[in-house]
Amino acid sequence: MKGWLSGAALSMLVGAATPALAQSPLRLTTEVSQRTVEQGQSFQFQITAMGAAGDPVPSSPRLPQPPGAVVHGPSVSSQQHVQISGGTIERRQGFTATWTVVANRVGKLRVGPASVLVGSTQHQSDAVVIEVVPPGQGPQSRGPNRGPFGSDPFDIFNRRGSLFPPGIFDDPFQQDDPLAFVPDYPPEYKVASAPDPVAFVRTRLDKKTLVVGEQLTFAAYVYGGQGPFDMGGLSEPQTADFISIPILEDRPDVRMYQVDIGENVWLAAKVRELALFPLKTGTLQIGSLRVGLRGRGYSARGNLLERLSPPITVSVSEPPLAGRPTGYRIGDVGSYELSANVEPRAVEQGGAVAVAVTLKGIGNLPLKLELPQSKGIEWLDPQIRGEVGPQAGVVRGERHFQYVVRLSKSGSVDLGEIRLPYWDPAKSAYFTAKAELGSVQVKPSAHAASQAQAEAEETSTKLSRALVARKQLGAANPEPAPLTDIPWFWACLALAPATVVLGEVTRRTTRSLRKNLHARSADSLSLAQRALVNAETALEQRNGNEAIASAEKALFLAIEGATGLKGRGLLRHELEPKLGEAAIAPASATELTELLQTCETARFTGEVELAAATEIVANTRRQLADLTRFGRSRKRAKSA
Amino acid sequence: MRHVWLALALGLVCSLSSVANAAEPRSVEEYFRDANVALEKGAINEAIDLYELMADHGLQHPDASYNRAVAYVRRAESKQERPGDLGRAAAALSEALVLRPDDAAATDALRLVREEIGRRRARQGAQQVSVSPSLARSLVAILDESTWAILAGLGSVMLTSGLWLYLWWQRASARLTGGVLALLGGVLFAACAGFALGARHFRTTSRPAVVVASEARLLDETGRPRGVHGTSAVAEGESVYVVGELGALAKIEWGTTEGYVNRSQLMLLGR
Repeated sequence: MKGWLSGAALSMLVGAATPALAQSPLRLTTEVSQRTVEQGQSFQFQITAMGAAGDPVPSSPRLPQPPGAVVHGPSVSSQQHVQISGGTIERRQGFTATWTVVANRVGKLRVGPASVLVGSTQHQSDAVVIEVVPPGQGPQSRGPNRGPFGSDPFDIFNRRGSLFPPGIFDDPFQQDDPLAFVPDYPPEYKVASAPDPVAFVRTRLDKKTLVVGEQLTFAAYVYGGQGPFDMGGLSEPQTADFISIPILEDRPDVRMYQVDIGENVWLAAKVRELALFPLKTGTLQIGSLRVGLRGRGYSARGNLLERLSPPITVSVSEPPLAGRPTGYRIGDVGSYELSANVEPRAVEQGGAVAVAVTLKGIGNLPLKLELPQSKGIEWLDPQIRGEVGPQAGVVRGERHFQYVVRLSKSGSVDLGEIRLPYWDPAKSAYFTAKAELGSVQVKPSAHAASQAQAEAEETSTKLSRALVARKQLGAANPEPAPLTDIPWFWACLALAPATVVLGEVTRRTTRSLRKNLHARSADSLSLAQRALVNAETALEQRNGNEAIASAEKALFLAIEGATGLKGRGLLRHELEPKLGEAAIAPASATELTELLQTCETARFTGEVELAAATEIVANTRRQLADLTRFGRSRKRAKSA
Repeated sequence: MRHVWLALALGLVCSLSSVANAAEPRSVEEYFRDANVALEKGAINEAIDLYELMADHGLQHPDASYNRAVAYVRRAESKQERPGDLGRAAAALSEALVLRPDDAAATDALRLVREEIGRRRARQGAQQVSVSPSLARSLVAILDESTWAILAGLGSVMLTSGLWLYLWWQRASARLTGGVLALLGGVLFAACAGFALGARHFRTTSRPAVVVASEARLLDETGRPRGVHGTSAVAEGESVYVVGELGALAKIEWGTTEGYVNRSQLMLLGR
């Protein structure tokens, strides 16, 4: 027990070591800075979550964004309470989380319930109903100080109704000497052309592509082209996918500038500047910002002239995977430095040391550090202090983590090193902030050793006993690509049976074709053609007799094929009338008969001159063509 | 000169306090060895980081997935427990089974983890509703996709042989054999090809995932919670199929129920 009490930093743990503790469940209280607000005005919603000592410390406060309102924050501060009453000591630890809520819609606004995690259990606070009234109809209490939460950080006009000090930019019709144009505005106000002749809202981002956790600066400007104006009904842009930290409220010199756009002089003011930290990847949208302008040339009878800024999108990605260090958490972006101090450096076994870690740098510094764990070293939940906020437009600051580390093993115990890997967008590289903790000399204690052994056995459950880590990598056969992904697999499956069917069809078709061809080659007209070919061959061989004999044969076969008449069995004078009866034209019949007569004569006279044979073969060819045509038309007529 | 020394000293301090990332292990074996050393010495978070980084780099191994589950279980049973640890253990074991389907120890461990999740939910008064996959998925999952494909191939061979015998041979016995073979082969081919195509369709159009949040509320496509009828949330550790994505939402199929959940509540299982 002595070790527990060593060091001033451990004094707060007195209660934890006391056996008689009056413990009760989580205490969750809800407060708001005011119950009635004006449209566009901000107020604070605060929860305090205090858990009993020994229970898991409450964490992860969340407040869902209610419709018609924008939520900023939270700002979290750790708390520890020790209360002694009736002889019992009650120790509680937890935090207070404060959100700034801006109401954009008139009516009843239900805010909350907020939630916190205790271990793996979620607890909810009460919800609060706020009455939102139109601008100018708020409670009289609105002054520079608005109660326990201080002044309204979003009320940059401080309820004057105008941004300007008295006398500046007053209505020119009430002035004898209007101000002359002095082009001394910052470059960020410069606009090439006015999208609206009366008034417009312009928004600006410092970048369009970034990584999760990187700061994006959003600024909104109002321009009026009709002279001085007041503003009201300012609504916040929807930034649900970002952590939003206001920058503008830290600048007391918010003012209006004269800006030349084209040939005209406009009045312009920056009305919002936010540091936004994207929470996820993708194309994220920043919603419209609405502002109302009132004044001569802008609106009549005191109504507001409303102007909306267009929504903007940004592309958010993760930092590159290549070179990503172990333990890197998505969102840790900026430039960090770590330092640590351990006290005391010698304790008894079972005692504790205090480890103070300071994290400072640029960016939205993480609220949690990964700690070097080891058997026999137990890190208790830290107390966190520090401020992170905008400085010259960049969010930076420092956080102090105060840990109590319980040491249940003896000897020289190396506490290890705290490492915080981060992505530095300015250098486009990963870095690791490190803080070496060094060793602590732990004196052995038999009681503490047996207690540690008992605790180790207690934490071993059936599940953790069943799951034993594997020491070696076994065989891991990479699964081959499924057969169904191979393109030719399906083709083979379908083509195999189709090939058989197609083969059969081809076989049958071929057989049929061959049969037809055979039949065709056997008919008289085909034979006649063949005889004519023989005649022509004989002519080439200068054999006139053979040519004439073949021509005569071709003619008889052609007559038979075309008409069915067997010409050889008929006398010459009988042939002509028979051909006429077979519907051969009389002139053709005569020519045929004469040609056959010429052939016969030439055959019987012996030697035939080649010229005569050539003429006979030529005439035979012509007659054969006529007879073939005649025969085909006759066949078609018959089949019809 | 004094300024030069000061600048050098400052540079040295900066380089010590903020060190650019040193070379990280690259192979599966190196990651596995380093993560196991961390797990052995009780540095659970460091071990988990290494196992997760290994998976992020696409280096997968069933034994590494198994050990990742061991690390998550140890953290879930320690004071450092984080919500969803047991769900992540279930996801890691499911991944081990995807990579090595016949890993009996992983199957048993997955059952034990889901039982533990059920016990914890019961202690909190929540129901552990487990559903079976849809009938189509169950039928298709009877056999492996490649097995269906091989059976479809066998059917195709039988059909081809049967047709050949039936059409090309004149003998009655051959034609009878061919007819029977063609009929059986045709049925086998049609059924198994259908299942193979179904398995391929499910594989290419959906991805298995495990719920790694305490529970994943079922939403509609606008992100609003679904009506009170039926089951309104999927419990931690449950297996679902992601069939589409819509912004930050994932469209899931859980049994016969379809709905949307936040993508961050799921861990997709890699292959």
